Amino acid sequence: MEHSSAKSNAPAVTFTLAGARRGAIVCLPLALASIAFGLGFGILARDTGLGLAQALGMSAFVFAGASQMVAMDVWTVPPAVLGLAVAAFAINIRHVVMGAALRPWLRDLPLLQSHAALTLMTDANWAQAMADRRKGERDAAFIVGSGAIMWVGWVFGTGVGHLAGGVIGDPKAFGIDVIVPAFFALTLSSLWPGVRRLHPWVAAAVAAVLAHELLPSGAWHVVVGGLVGAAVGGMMRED
Amino acid sequence: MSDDALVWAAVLAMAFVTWLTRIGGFWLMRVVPDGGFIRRALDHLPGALVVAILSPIALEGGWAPTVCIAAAVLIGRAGASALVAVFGSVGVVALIRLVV
Repeated sequence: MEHSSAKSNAPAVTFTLAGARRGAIVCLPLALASIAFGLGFGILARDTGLGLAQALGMSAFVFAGASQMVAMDVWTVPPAVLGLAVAAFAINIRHVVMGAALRPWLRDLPLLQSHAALTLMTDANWAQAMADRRKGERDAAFIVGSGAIMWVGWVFGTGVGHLAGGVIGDPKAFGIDVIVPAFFALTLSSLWPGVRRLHPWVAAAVAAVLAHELLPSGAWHVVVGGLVGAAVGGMMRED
Repeated sequence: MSDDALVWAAVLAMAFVTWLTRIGGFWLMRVVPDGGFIRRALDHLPGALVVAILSPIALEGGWAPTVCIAAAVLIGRAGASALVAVFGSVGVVALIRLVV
């Protein structure tokens, strides 16, 4: 496989300002999407009864949209701290699998650099980084730069959404709800393995859809689909 | 604790467990031996994860995500940048909603 043979003489992993800037520029559309989603979360948080500082704090510290939206859905007064933490863990468990995939890239870096990248890892900039790594990107600060610009967008959007409250009309009219599928479809198209090596993807799709139907809500289907697809890929013969 | 303090406790608890998931995979892979099956499975993980995120959305989300996915891939394949492809395909959906 070209990927593994290229690995043995791959240039060393770097961590530079230029790499961070590349990541920020490539992920600019994602940062705009973050603003849009942040708006949605800010509105939701205000409806749920969180103050501006609390909504901003959650976006700044948690920085994981799906789990924050779900938290608003199950929020009580006073909040059930343990239950919210467990729900956030279950929804974000997919990060474990994503971080595992980043290990070959990050393992030779100082801990402070690798963990800066992991701390700013989200679904979107992770997918972008994996795709760009296939195209030869070797600078791990790419993840930091892309994550940082998305973080700014997310926190900014949250604040504006909270302040604007109900003034904004239906965000669906602007297609805000389909930014995520559009983005992931593009990522997927750049990872296309060819029809003859498609069985990991088919397995991942079937497993994810089944898990989505059968398992409790959250993001378990992402974990199940990802692991099944990877396992099928792992069993494939190299050719 | 006051309600306000509990809100902040919830925020910090969610933040902490989420951060653990972010760094967890890196450390998990340290104790998993490199090479062979794990190595190949890791190569296939990115695509499989994205497929897993997308397939329920495409299958159960109605026409909008499906149209958007198709438009994004087509615009991307035509050589447009990611920014143009994402917002172009989102624009297609917004336009259809405006007309229908």
